Amino acid sequence: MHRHKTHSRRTTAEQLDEQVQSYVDSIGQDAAALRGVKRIVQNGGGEAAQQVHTLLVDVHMTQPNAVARLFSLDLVGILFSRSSCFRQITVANLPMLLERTVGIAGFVVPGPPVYKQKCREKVVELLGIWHARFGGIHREIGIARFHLKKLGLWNITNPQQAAETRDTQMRSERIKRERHEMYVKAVGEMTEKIPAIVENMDKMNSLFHLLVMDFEQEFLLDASKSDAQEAAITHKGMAKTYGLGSTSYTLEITIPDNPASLADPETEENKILYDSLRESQKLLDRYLALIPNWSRILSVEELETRETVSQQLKKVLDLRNQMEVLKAKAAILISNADSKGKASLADNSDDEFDDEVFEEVTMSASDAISANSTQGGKKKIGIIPGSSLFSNISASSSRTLTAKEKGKERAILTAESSIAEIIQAAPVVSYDDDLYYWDKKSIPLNSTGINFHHRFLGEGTGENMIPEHKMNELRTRLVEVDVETVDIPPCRAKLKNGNLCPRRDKVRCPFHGLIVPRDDFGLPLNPDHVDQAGSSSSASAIPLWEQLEGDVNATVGVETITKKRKGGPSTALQEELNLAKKKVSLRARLDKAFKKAKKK
Amino acid sequence: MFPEMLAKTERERRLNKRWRSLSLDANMQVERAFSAAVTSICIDGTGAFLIAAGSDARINVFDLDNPHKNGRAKVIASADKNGGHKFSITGVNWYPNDTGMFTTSSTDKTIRVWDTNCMQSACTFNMREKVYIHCMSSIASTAALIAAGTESSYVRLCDLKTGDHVQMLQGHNGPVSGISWSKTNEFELATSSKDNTIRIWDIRKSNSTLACLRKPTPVVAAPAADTSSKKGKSAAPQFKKSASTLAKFSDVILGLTYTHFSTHLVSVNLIGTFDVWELEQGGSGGAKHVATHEIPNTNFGTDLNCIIPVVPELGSSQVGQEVVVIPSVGYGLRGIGMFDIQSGEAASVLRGHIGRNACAALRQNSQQLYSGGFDGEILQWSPMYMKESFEADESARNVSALEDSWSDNDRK
Repeated sequence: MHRHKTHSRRTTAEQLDEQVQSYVDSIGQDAAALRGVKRIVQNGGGEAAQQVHTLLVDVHMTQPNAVARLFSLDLVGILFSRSSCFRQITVANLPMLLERTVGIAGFVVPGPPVYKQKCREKVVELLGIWHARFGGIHREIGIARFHLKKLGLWNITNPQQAAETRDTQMRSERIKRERHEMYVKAVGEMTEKIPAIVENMDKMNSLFHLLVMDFEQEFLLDASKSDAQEAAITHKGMAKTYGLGSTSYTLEITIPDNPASLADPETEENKILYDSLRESQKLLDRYLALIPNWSRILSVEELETRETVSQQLKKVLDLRNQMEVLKAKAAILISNADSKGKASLADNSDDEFDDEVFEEVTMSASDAISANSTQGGKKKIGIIPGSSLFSNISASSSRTLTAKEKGKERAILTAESSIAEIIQAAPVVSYDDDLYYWDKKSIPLNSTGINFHHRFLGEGTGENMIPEHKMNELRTRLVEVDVETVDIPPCRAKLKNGNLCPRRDKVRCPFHGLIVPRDDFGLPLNPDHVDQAGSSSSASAIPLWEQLEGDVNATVGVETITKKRKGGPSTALQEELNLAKKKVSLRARLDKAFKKAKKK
Repeated sequence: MFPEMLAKTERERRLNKRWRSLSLDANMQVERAFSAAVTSICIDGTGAFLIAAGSDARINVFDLDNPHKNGRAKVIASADKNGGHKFSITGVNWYPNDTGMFTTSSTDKTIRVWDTNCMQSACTFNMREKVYIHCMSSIASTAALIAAGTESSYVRLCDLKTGDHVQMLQGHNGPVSGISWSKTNEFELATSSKDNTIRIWDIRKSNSTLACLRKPTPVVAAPAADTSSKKGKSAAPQFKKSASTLAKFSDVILGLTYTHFSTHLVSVNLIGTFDVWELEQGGSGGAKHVATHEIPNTNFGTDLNCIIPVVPELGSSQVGQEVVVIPSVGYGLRGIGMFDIQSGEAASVLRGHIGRNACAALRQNSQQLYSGGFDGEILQWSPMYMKESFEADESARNVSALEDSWSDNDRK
């Protein structure tokens, strides 16, 4: 009996294995295998249910392809609805089933993608059916459904869509957060800058009031005029004025062709106002550039309440409209002022040097050139005044010019010197850029009036000045000096390697003696020079350095120091002072005397 | 007297049986209030309120006695990162005497004492290291001390009355993984550490360690049962050689608990086993290693998260026959194991969490178990006997759901 039982158990397990394998391999087409599995589980009870569950979930659902998993799942669904034991076992191991069919907790379901998707859809379908039928008893099914919904795996048609949905959601969340951060930043910037913008606009409005005559003001002026004329109104005039004589009346409206004509032209008195208006206009342009960015950020903000964002957007747009109106007004005024100003400039030559007096200075060639002339050299006309220039100025009037140092003449001017004297004493310097920048203190770098923005160099708003070191460079003048070059002929003596000696000594080559004219073969042209050259090669009684010293001294024109020879008898003093000579000391004399005595 | 004793014994036996027959309650649920993992839960002494904390620093208080009509225990108070912990909360405990206060510990290196009525932090203890576990004695009468285990090797005691650290228990060589106060002696507590030792302390004494327990290993052929040591002395010298060997086996203790009458100590190990220690009575602190039981199909791997076992309160007649509830067991650590302390047999393994199970708490008066998981769910487990009364009222459809439903074609 025991043997039979063991055989039947083994047979049951083997049968189950065989039937399940056949069902899965036939992709669910083997109806006989399906019936076999059902029969075994029905008759086998809990043990069979456990065995088939193990086969399906632990064996076939761990296969590296989704086809086997799909049809194992199919079989699980069939048995789940029929066997309570199998149901309990499956529900207890539901997470494992989901891992291997849907891919939760980091598990990945293998392909092919079509069957992978079908697996997921099947799980969703089964869970829905199970929850409807058994959800009241097995809460695990409801938990699994909730978990799949939380992961976004519930209502999907394809996994790519699920992944995209998740990715899209995450991306949109991130974009919303980033936009909100930009919104917060923009609101902070607006809070900081709007008061300044409003202040600028108020300033421009006040300038307009000052520069453009108000109609009300004009009416008041007219009214003031009419007050003066009131006394002169006659009865007829009064009737006419008040329309009592007739029922018809005319109304004259004067529309100026050029609205700018209502504005006061730019004069010296209101130049400050116009300059202030120009500055305000530049500031307005800068603020206007910020408005599109703010409005864009506000329009895409989603996390903040709609009312708040709408209010802020409305405020920004109103501000923009006001600024554009002011910009147009300012443009009309300034362009009108500029056009009138240009006309006046052309007449009045509006230049900062207008006030300065320039006199034509005639330059003579002798004054300019002779001061720095050298033998054979050419100089550029007009150099920085140096002492030589000053020295050329003749003391035409002894009253003003006195010599300070011997050999040098300087123009010394007193406080009472006239302009003419000063001009006469002044050095003659031709005009160049350095004189233009001579007295300039601060020059703006960008004088075009156009603001620019360089992505590396930054903003160019016209506030930067040329630095001092650059100004110093601009105040200097470049002078080109040509120096006479003397061509020294080379030695051209023949060398051992066949070349000619390239040395360019002035008098004597240290290797080949006196430098004499030679031909292309290195032979001296003058036969007499051969002896000198030959003699130079032989050992000379005079040392070479003395020869060279003599050559150098001859070139420069310095006398060679010769050794003085001693001649004639020397005096006692000279002998005394002669240190080379040995002195006879007392000891030497005594030694001499003792020796003499010994001999004796 | 004798019939009364018999009745008491029978009642306690039935209680024990109920604890062993828990299953997922399909009717009663806890409202889903966590989007992140639930890391710690605690039920107060009356069983009326459940407090849960999550890895997103969220704290929720549930009313278990007054659920919704649909059977869901609703959230009555909550707190989040604003004004609370900044990082994951590792432990939450009710104040033992009432529910007006509770304590939380977190990886933001603080322990906070909360006022439940306004859900605000009343006091903060700055621990300077990550706090893995903390607990208070349920029988303390003289001092309300919080024992905290941090990533350092010290066990710090914080006084609720003064709001300051009062004592530091030194002895361990690794981070403290488990703390449990004795159920009979308010001054005694047991701690486990990742240096593979369990120490029993008496906080009144200057040399606080009463005993240092180290599990015997099969490498050393010494009397494996007796590893007791008294009066603060370390474990027997013959095991010093095996320290490195122990380290190699990674026999790290992940948590421990006293049984109800403090007769036994149960500790959970990294290698997937739990040890049972029999404690000597009388406050001497001595202990004897009784048994090591395997937790089936459980592989903690290298995960060193604290696992706090809990033991239901049973009567004195059931001493030694208790069942210990160990969370995070089974495949994927999703189950909750209920094991007999004496035999080590698995009374049941509760499965229902989709994600890993992190914590468990007992509702003593109704023999219910609540568990929290990494899937954000708090599940309620009730005894099968409770569920039968519900099932009797169920519709015919649900009753048939418990039976097979084979069709005639299947029978052919």
